[in-house]
Amino acid sequence: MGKTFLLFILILSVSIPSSQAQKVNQIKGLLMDSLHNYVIQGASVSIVKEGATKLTKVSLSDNRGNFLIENIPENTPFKLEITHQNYEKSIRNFIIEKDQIIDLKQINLDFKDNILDDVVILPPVRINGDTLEFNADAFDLDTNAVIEDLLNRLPGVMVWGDGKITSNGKEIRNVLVDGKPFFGADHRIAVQNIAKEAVEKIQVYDTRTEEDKAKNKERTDEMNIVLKEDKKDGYFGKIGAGYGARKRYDGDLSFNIFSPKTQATAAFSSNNVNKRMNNIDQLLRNSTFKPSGISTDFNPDFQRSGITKQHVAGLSLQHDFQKIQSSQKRSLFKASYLGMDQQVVSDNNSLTNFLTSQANEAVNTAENTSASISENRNHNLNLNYDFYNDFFSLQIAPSFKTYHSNQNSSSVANYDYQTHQTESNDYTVGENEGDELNMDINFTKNRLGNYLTDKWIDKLQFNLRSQTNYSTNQNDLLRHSETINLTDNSINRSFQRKYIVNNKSFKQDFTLDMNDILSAFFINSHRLPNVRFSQKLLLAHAENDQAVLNDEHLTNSYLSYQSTFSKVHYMPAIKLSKDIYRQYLYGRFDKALTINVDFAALLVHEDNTSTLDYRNLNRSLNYLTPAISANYNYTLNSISNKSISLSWNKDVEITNLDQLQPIYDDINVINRFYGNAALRSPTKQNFSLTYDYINNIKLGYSYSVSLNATKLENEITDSIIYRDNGTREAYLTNMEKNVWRTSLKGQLSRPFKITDNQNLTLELKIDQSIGSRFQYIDQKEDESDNFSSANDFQLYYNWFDKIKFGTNYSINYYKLKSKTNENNNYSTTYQSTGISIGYSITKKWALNSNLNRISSNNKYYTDDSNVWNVTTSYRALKGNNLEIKFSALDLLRENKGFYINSNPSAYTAGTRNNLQNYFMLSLSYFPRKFGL
Amino acid sequence: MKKIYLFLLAALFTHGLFAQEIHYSETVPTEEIRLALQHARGGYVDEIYDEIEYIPLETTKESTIQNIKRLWVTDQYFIILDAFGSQILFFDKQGKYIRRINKIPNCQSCKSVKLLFHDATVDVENKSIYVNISISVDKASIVKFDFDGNYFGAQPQFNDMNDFTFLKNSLIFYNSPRDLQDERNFTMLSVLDNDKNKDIISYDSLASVDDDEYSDNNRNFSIPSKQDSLLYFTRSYDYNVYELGKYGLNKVYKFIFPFQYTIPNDFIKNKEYNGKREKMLSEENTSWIGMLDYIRRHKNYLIFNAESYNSSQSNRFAYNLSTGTLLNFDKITPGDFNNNFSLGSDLNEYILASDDDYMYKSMMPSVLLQTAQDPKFNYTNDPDGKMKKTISRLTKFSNPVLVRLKIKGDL
Repeated sequence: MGKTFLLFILILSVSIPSSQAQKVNQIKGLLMDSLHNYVIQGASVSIVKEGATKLTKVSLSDNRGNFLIENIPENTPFKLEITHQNYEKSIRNFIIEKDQIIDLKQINLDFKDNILDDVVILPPVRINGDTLEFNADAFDLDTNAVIEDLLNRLPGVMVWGDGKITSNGKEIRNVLVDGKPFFGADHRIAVQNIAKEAVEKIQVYDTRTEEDKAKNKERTDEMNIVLKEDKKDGYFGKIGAGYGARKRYDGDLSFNIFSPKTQATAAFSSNNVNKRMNNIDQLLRNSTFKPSGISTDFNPDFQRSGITKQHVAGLSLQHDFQKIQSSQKRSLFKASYLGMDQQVVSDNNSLTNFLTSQANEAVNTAENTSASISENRNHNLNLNYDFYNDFFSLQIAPSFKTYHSNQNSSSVANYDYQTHQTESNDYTVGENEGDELNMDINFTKNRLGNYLTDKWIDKLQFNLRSQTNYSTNQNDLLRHSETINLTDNSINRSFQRKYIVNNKSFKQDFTLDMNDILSAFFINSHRLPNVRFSQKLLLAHAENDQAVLNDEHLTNSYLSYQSTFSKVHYMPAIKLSKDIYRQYLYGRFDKALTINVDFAALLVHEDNTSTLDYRNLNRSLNYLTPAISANYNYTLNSISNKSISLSWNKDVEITNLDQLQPIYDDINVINRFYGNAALRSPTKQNFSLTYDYINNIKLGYSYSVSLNATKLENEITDSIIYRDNGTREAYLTNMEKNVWRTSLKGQLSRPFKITDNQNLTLELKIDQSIGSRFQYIDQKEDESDNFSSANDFQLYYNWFDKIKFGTNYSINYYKLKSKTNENNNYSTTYQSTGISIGYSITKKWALNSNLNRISSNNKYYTDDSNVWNVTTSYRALKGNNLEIKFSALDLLRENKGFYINSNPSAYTAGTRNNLQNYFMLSLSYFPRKFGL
Repeated sequence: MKKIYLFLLAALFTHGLFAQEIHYSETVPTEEIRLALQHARGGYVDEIYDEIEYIPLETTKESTIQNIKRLWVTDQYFIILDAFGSQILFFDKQGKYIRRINKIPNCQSCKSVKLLFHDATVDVENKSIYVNISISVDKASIVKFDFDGNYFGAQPQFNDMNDFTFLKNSLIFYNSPRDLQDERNFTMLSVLDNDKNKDIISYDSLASVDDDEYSDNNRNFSIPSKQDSLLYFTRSYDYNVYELGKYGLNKVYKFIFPFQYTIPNDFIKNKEYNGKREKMLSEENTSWIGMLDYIRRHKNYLIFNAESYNSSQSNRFAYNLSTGTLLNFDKITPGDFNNNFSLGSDLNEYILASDDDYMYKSMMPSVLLQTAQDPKFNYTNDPDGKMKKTISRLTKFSNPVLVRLKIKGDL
């Protein structure tokens, strides 16, 4: 399957250039201002069918006054309309025949002398300074079209299958509406909701200043959608409900209202089809108008384990205090609330095979069957004030969360360790609730003034950030557990325990970054290294109170305790950066080789006072965490950027108390975890080589490759001992020898334009890693070579208004080769292939279908499933406001929810319950009005 | 020796800069020039120019130019101030590299300065170059070199000035205090000769303009052409062009633009505009012309930039004082006459210099290469293959190319 798929893609990508349409049926000419004796640049030249009011094709005259329109439908009466705001409109009638080239030669336009007195009629396209402007009214589209439909019609603009927008090959990084973000950062909210009829013009421009261009800075193209004067306020939303077989339902409601200063949203969603909405942005994305009905979204609900029933409601508000929009100033307030009530019902059946030290094929296994119901209710309030001007920026973001959850779970596990067979039955009822208060304050002082005259304080640039978190949590748990050993009844146990846990914690993070300090004090600091002073301070204090009652009333003194934990982490760093080679040519290129050296340290003090003596801890640890890197960067002005980076850094993972002195709860009879009081904190040395390339003119073509190697000292690994009585004890230990791991990652994104209205995007991601893993089984060292590979390939084909086609293919491969026991060798392959097609049968009737195939195999387990979904939707009413949709999901009834987890000490194969075949009929209404 | 004086009143207070109105005697002749910018003519290159030559400047490790900030054309040399490269370069008239000045002898502190040479003025008569540097040497920020690169030390008498230039043997400088605490009411535009000064023009402190709004730049003076011995002076928010000759203020050309391009008469004086002027120009009335810039005289033409915030508005013009023709440089279309090559690039679109016969611009080589690499391109006017040879030697990393233009006199 994989090879066939790749071959198909290869053939498709190779054949793209030859599939380009022949450029025939042309009309061309030269536009002149004969009065002033010059050619007319940037005039809009469009062709309109006789009797029609909106254009069919449009072009702009070039720097030499020439225009050219190609691929004109044959034997159809057309009007050629030439418009420019400084000239009277000029019209020519023509009919083109097959393969004909009509050359109108020189066309003289009449200058409009008194343009101030005229009603200004905007041409379809014009170049206004450095801005390309499209007049939305000139483009003939369905009355229910949205901005995305318009973008597909604009010459040079392209919306790609992966959602990217490009203009003349350059990627649009940011989309604004009247100079502001529109209901969040996701541009799809704007382009898939706002009616095309509400748009006055669309502006595309490069945000770089002339100085930025001269200094070869990377392109940052932006799109601004200017709404018509009487459409600058409005509302849009959705009321939708669907009901189907197996009592499946899916309903949502959203209402969004906006004015030039304020945007507000109220949204609600309720479903039992595994749609999980975790924030307002997702709620909004789920309710976009998208009249074409074509979607290449893969249906993720069928991959999610468990059955989720969710009710979620959200409110959001954004207000702009800035009187005049400016990229240099902002004063924006945002508030959002999200309340959620969610129930997840999960079933799981799995078999885990533990690797063994024994030479024969006997393995230790655990067979597990579990079921759980969890209910969660939470309320989240997030506020954000964002202010910046030339001098400083300030973000203040307080947030509050309160939650309550109940969990009810039962499991039966059958262990077969050392041929001892044990059965364990567990039943747990729990209740968890808490509150969380966060405050994030981020202040940045900009560098001011010129280097000749101003004071050092003006020139000092710094960032100060404070993050505060206060939380309380109460967790009540009741566990019934019974363990029966079929061969040795000495370890048989039966427990009924109640756990009451109260936690309070306070965390405070301070970060101070002062960049380029020397330039504040020395006029000519460019010969000195860039010195960055970085300070991080983390203060934490937690109070824990755990009461454990045996048989619900007898205090268990081994598990009950009170403790106070406090922690101080201080991370000072001085970071030096210096260009040791720089070649720079104004407006041409910039090459630099930069060396960075970080002198950094981690100072830790931790104190834990507990009523359990062995949990008392008072320790101070100090580590150096230096880093060195060399970066080579080569920017060709407005064309491309490539960079190579070679780096080394040293880091440490501080062991925690639960690794050193865990509390062993003897309710876990079979699997016992003891940690290791003598455990040392492991250190890592990372070496990496990274290459990045981005081409700014070839439709955003980019790729990157990185090679990483990590040397681990004192790596923490498991030491597993299978006792003769059938129990499994797990300890942690440090590896005495150093361990190396390497990984190779790559990414490629390559868009192709096939014709003016067809495009293709190809994306490839690879991630390979190899390295040795060590563990101890029954006190014998077990070494294995581990190889893992995760590769993802995606391809999108877009034929505007007709077909959207998307496909993805991913393969994950894991191989373990043991050096001590070849019986432990195994490999696992997991493949996923998806195909999705959206087709517009008519303007109102659309058909979507997707097929997702998953297969998994290793030497013990092989399975596959095909999930095929078909959806058809019909838009009714004049404004397409009513949608009737019928969905037939998992038509093949093959969704199984199987999974395999692979790791160096065990692999697990199992199945989980998930969404399966159902049919649903949905009705949605989209209220929307632009201009109140 | 004639002496020329010019007084500027530039009252500067802690919170604002007081802009000035220039006063001059009624005996000074004035000429109103009405410029209907939208009706400026254009044409194909062969209709505007008699000659067009592309002169590549030799690219070597030593002669690599970042950007041409100023260009002086003498009988022998092209002298180039490359402020980004902190150097002054000499090329012969064929573009061959001769020498450069990029150091100040015996100046240890200069070595650590990245952009040391940030401005310069050339005294063509005495073959001297005065360089404005970023730090002080012997308590002065102006130093002097001759054309051979010999160093003549610091020139403390020229400190604290916005701009200065030479007119024959006379030095003229325009001074405006930099220190916001400086409460002097007068600064001076003077010609020095034997340490004697004479006033020409005085400025009144009439209106307060916020410091942020006042954007006088360093191009107040034209570079005088050898032919006319005339110098032109312009300032922000003032449509007058002041012609200075050896005997003082010769003449004032009062440029008058159509209504849609013109700032209100009381733009500087009206205190209601305080704090709003920048917004009025950059957001509300982007067609308004904020200043005349890059002014120069070439033959019968007054060449100027009419600067506005509207980037789509043409701003490079030449006015023929004899015929009244207004030429729009943005509307000159390349053609077969110059092998369809552009006459400029986005960076440095203005006329950099002129001598008795020619005007000079510069352009990035990548623009020429882009045209030559078009599959449909062919040389239409290159009988001796010179242009083809020029192009073949260029790379996208080459030095900027000078464009030498001989404008027709009878437009």
